[in-house]
Amino acid sequence: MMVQAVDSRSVDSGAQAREPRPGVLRRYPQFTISPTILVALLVAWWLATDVLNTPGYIVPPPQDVLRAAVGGLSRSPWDKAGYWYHAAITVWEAVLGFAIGSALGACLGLVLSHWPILGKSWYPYIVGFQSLPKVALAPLMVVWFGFGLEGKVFITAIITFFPVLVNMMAGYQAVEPERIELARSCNASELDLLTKIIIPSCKKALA
Amino acid sequence: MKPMRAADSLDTSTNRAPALILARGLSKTYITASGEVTALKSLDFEIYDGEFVSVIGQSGCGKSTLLKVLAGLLPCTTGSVELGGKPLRGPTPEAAVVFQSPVLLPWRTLVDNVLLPIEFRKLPTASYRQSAADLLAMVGLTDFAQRYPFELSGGMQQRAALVRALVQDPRLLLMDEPFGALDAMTREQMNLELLRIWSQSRKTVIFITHSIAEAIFLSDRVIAMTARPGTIADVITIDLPRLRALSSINTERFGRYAAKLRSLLDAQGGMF
Repeated sequence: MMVQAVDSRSVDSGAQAREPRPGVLRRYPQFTISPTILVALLVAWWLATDVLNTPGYIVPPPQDVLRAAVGGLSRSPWDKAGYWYHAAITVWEAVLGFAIGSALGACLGLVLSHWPILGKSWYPYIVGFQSLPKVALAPLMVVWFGFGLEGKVFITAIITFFPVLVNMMAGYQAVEPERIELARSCNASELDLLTKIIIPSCKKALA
Repeated sequence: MKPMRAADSLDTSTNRAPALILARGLSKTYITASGEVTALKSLDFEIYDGEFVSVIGQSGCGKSTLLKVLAGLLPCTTGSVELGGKPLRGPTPEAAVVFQSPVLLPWRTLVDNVLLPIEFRKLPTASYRQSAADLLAMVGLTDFAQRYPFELSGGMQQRAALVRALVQDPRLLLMDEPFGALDAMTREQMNLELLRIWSQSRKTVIFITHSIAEAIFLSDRVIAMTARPGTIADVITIDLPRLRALSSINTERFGRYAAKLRSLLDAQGGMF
């Protein structure tokens, strides 16, 4: 119905009685209703802490949270009491884990694809392990590595490892067999086949 | 028009130069999950230096398998293949393959695609740049040397693939339905161009096709194959004058060759 109304308006503009223009709430709910919901939630939060007088360690009131956030963000990145210092560590852990996980995933993906017997025999376990929620391993990580860098890097690496591995294998499968035959017909070495045909062909699958 | 059987041509080979390719009892059996499939069964044939030979047959008659065996990409199950008097074991620089699709690498320029076999064979690319440029000029692609494959039409891409095969200066060109994906007009142009290149370079060509007209137009001899298992039904010598033009398709002799080939292929219960 709406579509028809819009169409007829654009065809013979103003000839018929126009439908009333929808209000600003209807047109931009994300700029009007959504912020209202936020305000309502904050008020509810504040009321819950103020009226019920809940202790701060159970539910801190919104104004305390805001104060702590401003205090944490306004410190220098070298101040251990500030947020930036810890955010930098987290970013470093994430980057390191991502680099290790994707490098290992890509390498193992190549190995498992290049020797199909390996790929076929390992694939069920890879799929099984991939469907395991990695967060469930977090307590184990803490036991193995403590609260330091290693555990976090390890879990990031595991999370990135599987998608990269599976995409690498899919990318390898998707290399046109004729490209491989072309290389073979020219007596290409395995290394040349890998670096000049397969890896460039797989780049699309990994990107 | 005297049809020449494989066995007959063996007799006449005594007064010719030794065959470039000599196949004896060539068979290829694939072992699949559902059992053994015989793709080629006891093929005997020889191909002489400078000859243009087409292989024609239905889809699935093992033409492509034959080409892969001759390229050294597949080992034959039984029998033997000799190339230039030496048993064929794996791919050699003496034979170059032109595939059904151009198989140009999209991340390389045309000239870098052409030089790829040189890189694979660990030869110095610098000393092949001139011959690559000459060959690209021969097929009219000089202006496109630094372009990427997607900027070229299908016919131009296939010409580049032909140049990539020729840059290694092989004795033998193995062509697997190279113009099958092109439109009819481009295909005719490519056939003419291939004949011109062949007459200039004097390579030996083995040309797989399922077009009867294309096979007769291009070839000195046509090997007609039966399907499943692939065997040689007959070898027909095309005794038409060289310097062929597209108009030679309309001659009576051409028509007789076509009728002969068609009846051979129809006898296989083919789809022609």
